[in-house]
Amino acid sequence: MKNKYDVLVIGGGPAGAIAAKNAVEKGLSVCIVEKRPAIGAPVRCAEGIGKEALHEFIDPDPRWISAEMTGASIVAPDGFLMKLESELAGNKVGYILDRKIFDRELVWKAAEAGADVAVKTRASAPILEKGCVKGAKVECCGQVTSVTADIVIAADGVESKFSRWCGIDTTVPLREIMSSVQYVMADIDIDAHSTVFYLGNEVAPEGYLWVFPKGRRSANVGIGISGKKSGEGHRAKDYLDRFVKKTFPQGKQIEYIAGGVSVCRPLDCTVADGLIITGDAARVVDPLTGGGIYNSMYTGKLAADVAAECIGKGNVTKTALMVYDKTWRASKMGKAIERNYHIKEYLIKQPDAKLNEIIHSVSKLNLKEFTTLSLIKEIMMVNPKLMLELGALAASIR
Amino acid sequence: MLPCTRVAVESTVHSRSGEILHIIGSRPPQFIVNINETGHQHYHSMLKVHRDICGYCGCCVSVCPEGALELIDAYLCVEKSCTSCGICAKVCPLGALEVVHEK
Ligand SMILES: Cc1cc2nc3c(=O)[nH]c(=O)nc-3n(C[C@H](O)[C@H](O)[C@H](O)COP(=O)(O)OP(=O)(O)OC[C@H]3O[C@@H](n4cnc5c(N)ncnc54)[C@H](O)[C@@H]3O)c2cc1C
Ligand code: SF4
Ligand code: SF4
Repeated sequence: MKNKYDVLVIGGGPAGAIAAKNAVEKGLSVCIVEKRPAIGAPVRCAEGIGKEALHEFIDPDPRWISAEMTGASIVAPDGFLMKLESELAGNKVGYILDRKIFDRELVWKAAEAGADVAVKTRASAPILEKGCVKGAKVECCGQVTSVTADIVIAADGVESKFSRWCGIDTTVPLREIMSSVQYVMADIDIDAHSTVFYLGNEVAPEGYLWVFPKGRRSANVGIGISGKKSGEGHRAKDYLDRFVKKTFPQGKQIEYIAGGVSVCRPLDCTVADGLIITGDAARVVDPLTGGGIYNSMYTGKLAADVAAECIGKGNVTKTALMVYDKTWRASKMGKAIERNYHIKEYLIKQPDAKLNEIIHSVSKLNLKEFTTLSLIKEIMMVNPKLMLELGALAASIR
Repeated sequence: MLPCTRVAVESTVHSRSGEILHIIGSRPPQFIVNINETGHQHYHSMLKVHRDICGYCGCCVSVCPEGALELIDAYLCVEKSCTSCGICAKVCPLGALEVVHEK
């Protein structure tokens, strides 16, 4: 690691890795610092991603694809199961990744392109000059060094601290953190090519429980519940244990992880003088699905593009970097976050009876496009009443 | 001893031995007192990390309004700015955090 780079990337998750790779390819000198000793481990993710979303960034490779999905199911609070399939039966609609390998592959690609990588190296403070971010103090094995950079890209995930140290409030509201636990389970009876989502206040208050197949008889079985609903005796782990005991009593847990997913609105502003905030650190997770892999890669790439442009012009002020903030907000991803935030807010207020009613209204859907948006559109078609309740939001969906 | 004026009790909590404690003030320095027949007993509260339970996931870090938590590899650090508000203890998916009140 040198002590000066064009771009310093904090965090070696999907946001940081994609940012670094793209910045190098634009001719910038780049270093990624990652505080964990190993990229990608432990995995804090259910590892699901849509087909198109993944293909936009990288071609699938069997080394880090655990399973291919051809459909999904939603289980209503009363146990009724709604099946979602692609119009072309048997068509691949998404993947369950192996993120231990996937995250490594992304960092590997950044390194191969020419980025420096330092693991077990933590950014412990920003270097600030007249309020402008000029790099970071980084700590490795008790040694603190200063690394200066024209632009720092904060890609430090849900537990992000860097932007806060730069004076930006990144606190996730209590009710908008999904308190999560997941087991990787083996030896369980599942449909190996379909994800399953369980809804309901008894199962996962203001969240959902998932079974994402990793193989013929193994899956990520996890849950996220609203922080507001969490507490002694009724934590995410309590709900998951109850479900597992009932549904997979013979299953074996071969991995146990916890996590937090923000389902709030993104940060009010995702840039500052000399700083661009990406991925989970910018709180750009999809508030309805909790999916953040694609959004992290998208913002990571955009951050690199904007960094290259601004460094080229010799202007890294907040005003210049605002292009990044404006572009992602106006993008398909930005619009989806805004729309899905409203849908989430609507859904979490519905009692189980209402969720049952909505899910019963369609028992089997063959979707032309396998996206949350087309699912919502289809559901609204058969529930004209919903259209009224959703008001202006419904208009934006049609 | 508290001065004999009326004080606003923000909330009540239980000590480990089950006593009802009153938290006075919403910002630090908060006073925690046990008011009973024998007088007032001051307590102080602190956040305890049960390292044997913690899964080092960072969920708590994201909700702390004071930015007092940091995940340093496999170690959760609590900084002095912690106000013992208990938000993190509520969201922890595993129940690894506890606000304890001690004399
Ligand atoms: C239980 C769970 C299930 C999920 N399921 C899905 C899913 O199925 N599909 C999906 O799309 N998304 C899912 N997500 C969300 C997804 O995991 C995240 O959105 C994604 O990992 C975000 O990528 P990122 O690069 O922004 O952050 P991260 O992947 O969190 O990477 C951030 C990195 O920064 C490092 N770091 C932090 N601070 C510092 C520092 N000071 N110095 C150096 N390094 C630092 C961290 O160690 C970490 O490696 C899930 C999340 C959870 C918790
Ligand atoms: S939320 Fe709980 S398990 Fe996760 S890091 Fe904090 S204390 Fe540990
Ligand atoms: S008790 Fe409150 S202030 Fe202290 S670490 Fe937890 S959330 Fe932060």
